[in-house]
Parts: sequence; structure tokens; C-alpha cells
Amino acid sequence: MKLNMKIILFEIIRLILAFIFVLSSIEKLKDPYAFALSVDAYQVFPDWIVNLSTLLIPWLELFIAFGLIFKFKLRANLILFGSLMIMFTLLVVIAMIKGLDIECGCYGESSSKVGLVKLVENFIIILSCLILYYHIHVQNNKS
Amino acid sequence: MKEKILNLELIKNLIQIILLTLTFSVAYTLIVYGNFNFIEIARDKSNQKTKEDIREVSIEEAQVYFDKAIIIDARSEKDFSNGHIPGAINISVKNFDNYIEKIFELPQDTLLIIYCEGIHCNLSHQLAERLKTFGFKNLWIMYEGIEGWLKRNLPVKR
Repeated sequence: MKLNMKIILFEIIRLILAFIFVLSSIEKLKDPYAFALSVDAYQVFPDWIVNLSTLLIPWLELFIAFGLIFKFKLRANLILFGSLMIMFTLLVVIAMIKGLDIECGCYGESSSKVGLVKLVENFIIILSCLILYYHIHVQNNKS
Repeated sequence: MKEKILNLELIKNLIQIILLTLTFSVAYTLIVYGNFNFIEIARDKSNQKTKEDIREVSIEEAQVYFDKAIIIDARSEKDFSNGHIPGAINISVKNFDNYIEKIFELPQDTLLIIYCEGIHCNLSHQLAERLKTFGFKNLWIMYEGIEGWLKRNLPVKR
């Protein structure tokens, strides 16, 4: 019974992480130009990186989300999920250090501003991703 | 046998996902947009939208009209209290609804000069767009914002 609860909890985490990326990618794909301006607002990247991010990130998020939902190459998708989240978190930290008053650009028009709340939110997501990855790693070793 | 936390199979999977995404996104972008220069088009669109009825002005140009205009800081209350242009009022676009009463008190025919953080900040444009819906037509954006103001060593009020 206890084991079942644990498995259900991990399944819920997996689906929540997938939902976050589905939402995030759809909002970015709806208006790639607004997303490009959001990336540019961090004042960190040259134009070619802004363009590459606009091209790749929304689709990468969508594919990762599908991978998580359908358990396709789960570990690889979790690594990519975690890497993207760490990258986003670093950008939030840079924006905070620079004192920028900008939106994070995470969920299109409904994005919140960069700040401590966003940072905590990202840390929780990264932690959930790590826990899920470790769980899958342990499960694979058992089988 | 114990599986390593990161093995060759995993690296192969990572590369496969990235290549699949790259192929798909390039094909989609070529078909739908026909152009990869998103940021250039985004900037053009943003400028075009602004040019339609909201004027962007330099600090020097705005200063000439300071005594006839109302200067509005579009940043958050916190940023405003940390330092703003003397004489400016705060209408934080993020908490726009809290300022409705204040907006109704503003004279419609007066020039409103709006600023935010700097050239990359979009808050003044957002505020100008919202004020436009309230019937304000004389809207200027001081695009260099408080960053440009500080660069010129002009005074700020805290």
C-alpha cells in the first residue's frame, strides 16, 4: 500500500512537470516574436542566440513534455528538463543581480516577473525533477 | 549489473531528442514563418506598433516639455521608491487596476511622458497602450528610461 502511494506520487510529479512544459511551450509557440523580445530583455545574449533560443526552446519543451507523458526516453527527457530549468534559473539570477524589471517570459503573456518568487518556483521544479530522476534510476537498477 | 547515472545509451538518447527537435523546429519555422531572424522582426513590429500613435523621445527632448507634461513612472512601486525622476508619479503597469482612480483624475489633453527601466524595458509601452484605451492621445515614451537618466547624472528623488 505504502509502495503504491509512492508510485502514484512519482506519477503525479511526472505529469505535473510535463504539464508545466506543455503550457510553457504552447504559449511561446503562439507568439515567437514576444518570446524573442523576452529573451532579449535579459540583455545577456547576442541576437543569434536569441534567434536560436526562439527556434529551439519551445519545441524542445514540447518534445520533452511528450516524452514525460508517454514515458519515452524518460531519463534523457528528465536530464533535458533539468538542464533547461537550471538555465532558466541562472537567467533569473542574472536578471535579479542586474536589477532588471522584466517578465520572465516563461509562459508567454501570463508570465510573472523575475524575482525571488520565480526563483523559489524554479528550485521546487528542479528538485522535483531530481527526485524523479533518482527514483527512475533506482527502479532501473532494481529491475 | 548496476547502471551508471549517465551512460552511453543515455547520451545517445539526448542527442537523438535534440536532433529531432532541431529538424522539426527548422522545418516548422521555414514553412510557417520563412525566416529565422525572430528578434529583428519582433523589434520592427514593436517599433511599428509604437509609431502608430505613441511617440518615442529622447531624455533631452522630453525635458523641454517637463513643465507642461505629467511624467509617469511605469515601474513597480518598489522600484519607484528606490529612485525616480523628480516630479514623476507612479502608475505601475503590473498593478494597473489599483491606479484606475488616479488615471481618471489625469487631464486627458495633457502630454503624458512615460518611462521605465531602460531601452530593453517594455513597461512604458504596455502602460501607453493601456492609457490609450482610456482616451489619452498625447503619449510620449522616454525610451532611455531611468538608466539613461542616471547615466546623465541627473537628480533622482527617493
